[in-house]
Amino acid sequence: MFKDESSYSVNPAAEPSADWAAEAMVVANNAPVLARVERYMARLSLTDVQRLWIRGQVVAQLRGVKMEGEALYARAFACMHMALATLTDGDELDARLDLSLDLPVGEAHDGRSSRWLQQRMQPAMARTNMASRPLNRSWGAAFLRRFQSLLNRRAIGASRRALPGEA
Amino acid sequence: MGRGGIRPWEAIGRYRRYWLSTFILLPAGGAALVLHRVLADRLPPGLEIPTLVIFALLFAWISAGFWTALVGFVLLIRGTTDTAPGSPERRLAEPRPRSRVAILMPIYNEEVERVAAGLQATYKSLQQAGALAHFEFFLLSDTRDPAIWLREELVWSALCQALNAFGRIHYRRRPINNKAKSGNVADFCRRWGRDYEYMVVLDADSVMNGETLYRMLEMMEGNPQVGIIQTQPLAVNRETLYARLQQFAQHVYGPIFSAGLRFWQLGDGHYIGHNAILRTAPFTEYCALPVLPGRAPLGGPLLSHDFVEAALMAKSGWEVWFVPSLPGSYEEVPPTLIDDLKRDRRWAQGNLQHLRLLAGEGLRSAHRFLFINGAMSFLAAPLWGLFLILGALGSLHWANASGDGRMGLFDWHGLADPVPFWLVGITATLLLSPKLMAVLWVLYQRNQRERFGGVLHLTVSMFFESLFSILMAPIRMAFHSQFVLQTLMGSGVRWGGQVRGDQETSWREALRTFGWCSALGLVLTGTLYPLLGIWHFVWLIPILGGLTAAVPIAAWTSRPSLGRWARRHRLFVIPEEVRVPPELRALAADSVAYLPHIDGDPFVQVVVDPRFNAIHTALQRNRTSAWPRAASLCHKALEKGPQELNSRERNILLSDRQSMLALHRAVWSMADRERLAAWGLADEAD
Repeated sequence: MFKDESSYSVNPAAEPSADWAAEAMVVANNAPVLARVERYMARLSLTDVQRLWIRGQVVAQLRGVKMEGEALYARAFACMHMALATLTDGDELDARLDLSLDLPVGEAHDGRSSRWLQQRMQPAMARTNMASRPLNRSWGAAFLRRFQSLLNRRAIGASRRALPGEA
Repeated sequence: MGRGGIRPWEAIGRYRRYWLSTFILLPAGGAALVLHRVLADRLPPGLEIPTLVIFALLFAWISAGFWTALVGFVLLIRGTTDTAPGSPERRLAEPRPRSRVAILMPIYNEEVERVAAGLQATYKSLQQAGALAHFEFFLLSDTRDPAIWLREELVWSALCQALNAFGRIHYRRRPINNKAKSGNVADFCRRWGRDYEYMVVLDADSVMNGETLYRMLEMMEGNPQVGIIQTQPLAVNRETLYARLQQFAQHVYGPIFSAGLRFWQLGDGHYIGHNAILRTAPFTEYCALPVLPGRAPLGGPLLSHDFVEAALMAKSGWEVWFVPSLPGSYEEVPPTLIDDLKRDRRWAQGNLQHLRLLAGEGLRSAHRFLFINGAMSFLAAPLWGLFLILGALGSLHWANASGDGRMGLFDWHGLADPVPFWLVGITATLLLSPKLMAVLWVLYQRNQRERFGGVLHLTVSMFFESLFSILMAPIRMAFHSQFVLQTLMGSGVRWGGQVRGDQETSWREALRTFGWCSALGLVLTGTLYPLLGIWHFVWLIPILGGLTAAVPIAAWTSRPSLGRWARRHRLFVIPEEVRVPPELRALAADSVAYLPHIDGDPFVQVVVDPRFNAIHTALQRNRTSAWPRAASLCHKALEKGPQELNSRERNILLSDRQSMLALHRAVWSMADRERLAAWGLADEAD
C-alpha cells in the first residue's frame, strides 16, 4: 500500500540553492538515463506526486556518481526501484503489484501484496490421497461371479419369507 | 456417507432394462431370421453367416436408439419424466451455510478470452441468483505453451480485479500434465478436495446458469446417496453451417433421447465429464482411474475418463443421476467436420479401451451396457462397412450364379421378393422415426414452435438436417472405421487442444483430409454401376453420393457465412437464438474487452512490462534447484535475445521468481541499442 502523499513533498526549496544547481547538473548530464526512468514510470500508473518524488530520489542518488553505460543505467534503475519500495514501506515488487492490480487500500495483506496474491491464486492445501483401487478384470472370474449370483438369487427366492409389515 | 440404504428405483430400473433388452434382442433376432429366409438358398454359408451376424448387431444397435426415443417421446407427452421414485429432483434441501462447491474449469492451450468470458458469465449468473457464497472457481491449467500460460495468468488477475473476486476465482497450473484432464481434476481433489464437499466440472467452453447450479446443489444436499448429477448441456453459439446442423439436431432430437435414457438408467446414469456436480469425497476415494496393463492405445491411462468414473462411483454404492430437465447448461460443438472427427478419434480410442473394463468386478450392469454402447458408437462404422462389402459380394455371387451378371439382391430370379423391402423399410423407420417423434414433440409444445423458427421452417430444417446427416453418415463410417483399425493396430492418439472458434476449412485442407473419401466414392461408383445395374445401384446412391461429395460437404459446411445465411432464413434455428439467455448474452466479445491485451511475444512483455512482470513474478516461487540452469539461460537471453530461447527454456525462466526479477532489471539496465531492440525497447535507447 502506498504512503499518503501528504507525508512527503516534491516541491523544490523556494530559493535556488547549491543543491538545486547540482541537481540541474545531474539532470543535464544524465538526460538519456532519466528519460528511460521516466518511460519506465509511465508504464506504471503512478500519480504525478509519486512520479516526481521517485524522480527526485533518482536524481539525488545519481549526484556525484562517476559511472557510464550499463552501470549507470543499472544504478538509476536500482535507485528507482528503491524509491518505489520506500513509497510502499516494503518491496518494489509489491509496489509494482499494487499499482498493477489497483489493490484496495486497507486490504489486510500486511503490505506483502505478492504473498497475498499467491494465497488468492491458490488457497491453502489440505492434502488427500487419491489412488486407484485394484479392479479385477478377469473374464473367468466375471463368469464365475455371474454364475454364483444366479445360484444365490435362486436360493434367496426359494427361502423368501414375508417379513412383518411387508406387503 | 449417504450410500447404501433403500434404493427404490433399483428394482424398477432392473425391470425396465430387462424390457429394453427384450425389445432390442427379440426384433434383432427376428429380423435376422427373416433375412436368413431370403439368403439361405442364395448365398453360401461363408457369406451368409457373417452377413446375418453383422445385420443382427446393427439392427440391435439402431433399435436401442429407437426404443429409447420412443419411450422418451411417450414420457414427454405424458409429462412424467421426473416421477421415478428416488429421483433427486423430488428431494431438494436448502444448502447448509457451510456447503462449499468448487467449480472446476480444466483448460489446456485454450483461447483464454473465451474461457474468461464463459467463467465470467457463470460467475455473474451465480451472483444474480444470490448463490455466490457457496461457490468458488478453479481455473485448472495444463497449458504447456508459455505464451498461453502467461495470458492465462494475466487474464485471471484481470478477471479477479474486474469482478472483485480475489479469493473466489483461483488459478493453478500443473507443471506436469499427467493423465490429461482426469489427472488435472484428480490433482485438484488431492490438493483442495477436502475443503469442498462438491465440485462442478466444466469444460473450457461450458457456461452454466447460476440458478441451475444452485438447484444442483439443492439436489445434492437433499440426496446424500447421490454421487453425481449430470445435466444435459445444450450446444449453442456456433455459426458455421456444420455446427448449426449439430446444434439444431441436438436441440430438436436431444430431449426425447435424453428422457428415454433417463428412463432406463435411473440411478445408474452416465457422466460425460463436464456440466455435472460431483460429491468430492467419494470421487476422491473411489474414482481414481485404473491404468490398464499394456501399452497405448488399448493399454495405459484411460483416454475417456468420464464413463469409467461414473461406473466406479456406482460400483462403490453411490447413485449417478442424469437430469436432462435441468435447464441453463451449455456447451459448444466442434465448428467443422474435421474438428468433429478429430474429437471422435480420441473418443474412439477411449471407448474401445472401455471394453477392457467390461469384466471389471462389481461394476453395475447398466455401466457395462454403457461401455458396450460407447464402443459400438465407433464399432458400428466398420461393421456397416463390412455389411456393405458382404452385400456387394453376395450380389456378385448371385449374379455369377444366375448367369446374367446384372442381378441385385432385391431382384433375384426376376422375382421381386418383398422381404428385403420390408427389412429396409423397418430399418429406415427405426432410424428416421425418432426425428419425426422429436418434431412432433416440439409441435406439441405451443411455446416451442416459434423458438425453432415456426412450423414450416422447423420441418424444412429437419428435412435438410436429415439429408446432411444421410450424406455425412458414409464419411463418418469411413473415418470411424479408420479410427478403429488404427487403434486396434496400435496407433495411439496424442492429447491436443480443441478448436473452439468458428474456423473455415479451406478447399486445400478439405481435399487433403477428405480427398481419399471422394476418390473412393468415384472409384466405387465407376466399378459397381456396371456390375450391379441401375436397380441395385440406386440403393447405394446415398452412400456413394456422400462419399463422393465428402470434399465439398466438408468445405461448404464449415462456412460461417452459410450458417449465418441459414439463420437469416430461419433455418436450423434453436430457442437460445430466438430468446438469448442472459448468461449467453454475457459471452459477447465486448464483455471481456477490459482484459489485458498483450502485443507481440508474451514472454518479452512479461519480462519488460513492469505491471505484467509484477503479476507473473509474484505468482512464482524461488526454484533454487533450477538456479544454475536459469542463470545460464538468463545470460543467453540477454546476450542473444529472447527469440533464441525455446519453449522449454522459457518455461524454466518463467517458473522462477528470481530469474524473472533479474531479467526485468537487466533488460531495463541495458545500454546497447541492438540488444534493447531485441526486447522491444528500441525507443528506450535514446
